[in-house]
Amino acid sequence: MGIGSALNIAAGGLSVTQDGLNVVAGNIANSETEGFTRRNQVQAEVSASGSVIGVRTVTIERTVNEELQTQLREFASVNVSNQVQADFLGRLDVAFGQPGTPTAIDTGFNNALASLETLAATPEDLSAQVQAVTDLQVFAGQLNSLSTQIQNLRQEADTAIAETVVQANDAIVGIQELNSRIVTERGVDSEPVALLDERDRLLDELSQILPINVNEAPNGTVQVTTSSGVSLVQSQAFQLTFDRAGTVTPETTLENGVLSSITVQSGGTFSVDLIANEQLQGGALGAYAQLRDVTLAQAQAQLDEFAAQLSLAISNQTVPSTVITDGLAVDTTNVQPGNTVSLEFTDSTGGQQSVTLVQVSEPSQLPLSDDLTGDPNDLVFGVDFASATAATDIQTFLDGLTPATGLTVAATATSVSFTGTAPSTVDGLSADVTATGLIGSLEFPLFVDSSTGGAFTNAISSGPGIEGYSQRIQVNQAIIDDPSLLARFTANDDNAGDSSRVDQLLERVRGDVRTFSPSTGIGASNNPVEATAADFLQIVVSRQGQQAASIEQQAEASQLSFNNIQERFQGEVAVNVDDEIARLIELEQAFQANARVLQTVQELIDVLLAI
Amino acid sequence: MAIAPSLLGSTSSISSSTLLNNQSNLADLNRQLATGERSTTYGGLGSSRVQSLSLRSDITQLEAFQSNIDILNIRIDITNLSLGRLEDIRSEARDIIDPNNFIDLGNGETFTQQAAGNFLLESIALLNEQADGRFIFGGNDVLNQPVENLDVILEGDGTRAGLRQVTDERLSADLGANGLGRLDTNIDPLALDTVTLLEEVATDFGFDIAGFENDLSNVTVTSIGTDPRQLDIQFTDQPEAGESFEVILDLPDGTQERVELIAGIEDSFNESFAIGADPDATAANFEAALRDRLDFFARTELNAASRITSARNFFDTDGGRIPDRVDTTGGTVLPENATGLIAGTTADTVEFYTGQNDSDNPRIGQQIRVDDTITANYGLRANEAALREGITVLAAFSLGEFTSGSTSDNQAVHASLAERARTDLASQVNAPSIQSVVQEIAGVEVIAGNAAQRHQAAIDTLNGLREDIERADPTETAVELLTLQTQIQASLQASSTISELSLVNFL
Repeated sequence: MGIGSALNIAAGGLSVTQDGLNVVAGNIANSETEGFTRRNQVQAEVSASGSVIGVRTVTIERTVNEELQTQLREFASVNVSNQVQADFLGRLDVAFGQPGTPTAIDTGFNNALASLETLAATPEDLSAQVQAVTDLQVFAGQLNSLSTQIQNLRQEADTAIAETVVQANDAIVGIQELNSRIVTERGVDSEPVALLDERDRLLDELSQILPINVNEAPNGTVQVTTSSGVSLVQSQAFQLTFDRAGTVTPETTLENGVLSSITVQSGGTFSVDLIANEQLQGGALGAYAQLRDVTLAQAQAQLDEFAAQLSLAISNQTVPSTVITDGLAVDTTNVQPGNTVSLEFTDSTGGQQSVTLVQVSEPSQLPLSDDLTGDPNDLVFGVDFASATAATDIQTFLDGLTPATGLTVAATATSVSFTGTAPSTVDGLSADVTATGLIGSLEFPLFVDSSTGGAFTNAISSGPGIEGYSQRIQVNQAIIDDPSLLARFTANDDNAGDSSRVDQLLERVRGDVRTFSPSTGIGASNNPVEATAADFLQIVVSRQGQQAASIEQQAEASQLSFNNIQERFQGEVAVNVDDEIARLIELEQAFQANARVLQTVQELIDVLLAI
Repeated sequence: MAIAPSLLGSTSSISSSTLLNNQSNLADLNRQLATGERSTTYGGLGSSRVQSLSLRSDITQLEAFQSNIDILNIRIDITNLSLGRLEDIRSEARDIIDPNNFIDLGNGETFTQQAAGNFLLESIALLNEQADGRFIFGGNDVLNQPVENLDVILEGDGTRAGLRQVTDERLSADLGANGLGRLDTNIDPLALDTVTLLEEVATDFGFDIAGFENDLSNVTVTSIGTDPRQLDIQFTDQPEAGESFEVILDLPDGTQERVELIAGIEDSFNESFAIGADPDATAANFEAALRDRLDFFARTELNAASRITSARNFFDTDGGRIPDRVDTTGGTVLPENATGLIAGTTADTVEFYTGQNDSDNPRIGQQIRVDDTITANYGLRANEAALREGITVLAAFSLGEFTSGSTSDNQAVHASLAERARTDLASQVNAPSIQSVVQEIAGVEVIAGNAAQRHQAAIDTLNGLREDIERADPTETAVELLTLQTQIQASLQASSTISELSLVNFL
């Protein structure tokens, strides 16, 4: 070994220290760069025949705790989902108004009822009539606006899905491209650290969009699937597809196919529907889909159900049956689409049954679901009472029931009758009919559907039905034109002091218990909500408030957990400037030492040369 | 919520997010302190939002009831003024319409008659009074004047007959063609000792023979039939002077008159007949005296009874009735020959009352809900028995004719009508009266007053509960604010200290 080898070793040491300095400089410079992982210089001795002949930089590596990273991504997915929902529902909560102010929906309703109460005291007074009509209009307007805001939020969610899908696709493609580059650029014992960082960034992004599983292959590529195994990145990238809706209205739903689902095109014609297969239990996409198709849709359905039941409570009258031999008959002259005829009978085995016959003019809407009415115990059958085959249709339906009903149906264009002989008996029959005129009966169409201008009858048809009714509900124009009709139900004003109509209206809205359809998400199908129309509004407002508050709490909690885990991960992975400075000092000393060796060798050589 | 480019945030991001969170809490506490409201949304109210919603709804409704009760009190106050004046008129009129207070004013009216007319005019005006812009005495017909103008009521309007015409017809029917109140007397030419007193035909009008009392010796009275009834009074021999015979007559207004004839003794009331030369002559004297007495009673008592009855029929329209009139079979029969009454039609007879007129209890014609379950019923109708009584009597009296005959006759007619009027105007126990109506309305006011007190207490309590839920307690908020402030200051200071502790600063 000559003196030159010490020189070489010292020179190598300087070079390695130089590399170390570069790493430290890079770390410090990037300490605030998002997604940057701390680089580590790995150095090793160079030896030959048992003796050290130098030092070298083996690789610049990064330290990533992969278990922690997976956990972080899971938490991120949940957190983003909660944050998105909290944001949307918080805005919906605001839309319901500030408690006690005129913006609050319940204030509008309470004011309208109070004005009606005042009107009941002075039914003939024009100013009281106008005040009541105005308050009712304001309330209808609040319902319309609230409903529109819900639809705007759904529209926004739909748009956000479209944008997020583009973002997801960019990430998926990016990951796939990085996969191939990483394979190419990977050395035997060196890693393309920057590329790995970049890929992690894309995976981070994707995990916030939808919950993913990441598997790293020995060749350095990663395979990405959804949490339950639908491939997103394999040897190729699988893109998400989504069609953005033009306009989102209460009538446009995922179920009726107007709104698009999110699918993965797994090559060729095979595709997986992510929403239908519940692949989106977290992440931004899941949150947006949940909002668009469930949470906000239910809020809309609740308002619609309220508006519908409110209208029907005021406008519908019961047509009693008349007794005929062995049975009952009821007049169906004024039955409107959506109106019902309720039949109660004892079947041939002595069991009590109830059937609700619903007027349906369009055969294409049949058959109807038993869940159509809130009542859990009735069977529902749609029929057109005006058709010539009404009796046959109902008879066929009854004959199809088990146990046998033992009833016989007869119908004319204006009535329907049921008869039975012991043990079968007809126990009850009545029709629930919407009054369409403003004069003649206490019931009257106070609210109308603005799309038709006519009374709301809860029709099941291709035309406007209950969906979105709260967006279209408005005070009958005829009543706006002549507010006295709010109280007056006779052709002249000879009984102007008679408050019967207003009294009945208030009694029906505030006192009559109605059954609300469980399809709104409130109440169960075997135990539907039974409340007055006024109470149901409170239930809706309170449910929405509770939903917003609860998701807000979840969001706070998930943010905290996320922050915790992020902090831990960061502690391991991120640049600690203090550490780097300490390392800098070490390097400085190493550099000085190596330089000292060089200097000593030089002095030695000088001594030799001077001899 | 934006999607972060990387889950590996920068070091400063975490502590700054905590600081930001603290800052937004600070802002919210500040808002709470400034507005006093705990939250701006129902979501922020916490689990008490259900109570908040139902409290607000309850309070609004109670306040509506309260304002209704205020309105009710105003209306009842005005109603009470009207009822009070009607009651005053009743007693004042009764004081003035005294049978002895006969002063002929020389213009075809007596003083009492003129006073009755004035009271009538005032009563009609009172019944057309409005409270709070609505007619009080028309049931639920609050927009239309419930009582016709006095002129129309009395005189009709051309096609429809007023009270005067209806009364005149009735008077003719009651007096009959011979003026004897649908009775007649004669002596059978084949039995000159027998005087016959008979009802002409079966009729609702005039006198009805209710019975007789015979103290005359040698006279037998035979009653034949019931309706028409006939009395045969046979003088089998002469009666003794001083003995008397009485026939008892029913009048249309439900009163009775006893027509007494005394044998042989003159008295100041002409109630006697002379005992003749033989029973036949006595019978003839008896018949002449009887006719004379019947004629007198027909002109006085029957006249008054007829007028009162006619007015009662005219004003009794309760429950949708149309006034009864003399049935002239479409004008083919003269009123004096008519035998019955017929309901008038809206086309031919004035209905004095045009308000709500059905079989319902008049009180429910106007209602105000003062509580969930309590309705104050304070409707009144001008044709209720209690309220129409006064105008019935006053109208009948004001149409009386007290100046057409001899002074003594006039006084007698005046006295008999005044007597009846006084009886009807008297405050009656156990009969519908203005007093009893006032009592009923006062009862309503008491109920409403109690409800108002309850409501006010409930509103105060509920508002307290609501504020507990919705209001931010300033002390609590201020304390939280201070704590948070300290916390933020501390963490800012700590952050600053920690950042200075970097090794960088010591090289």
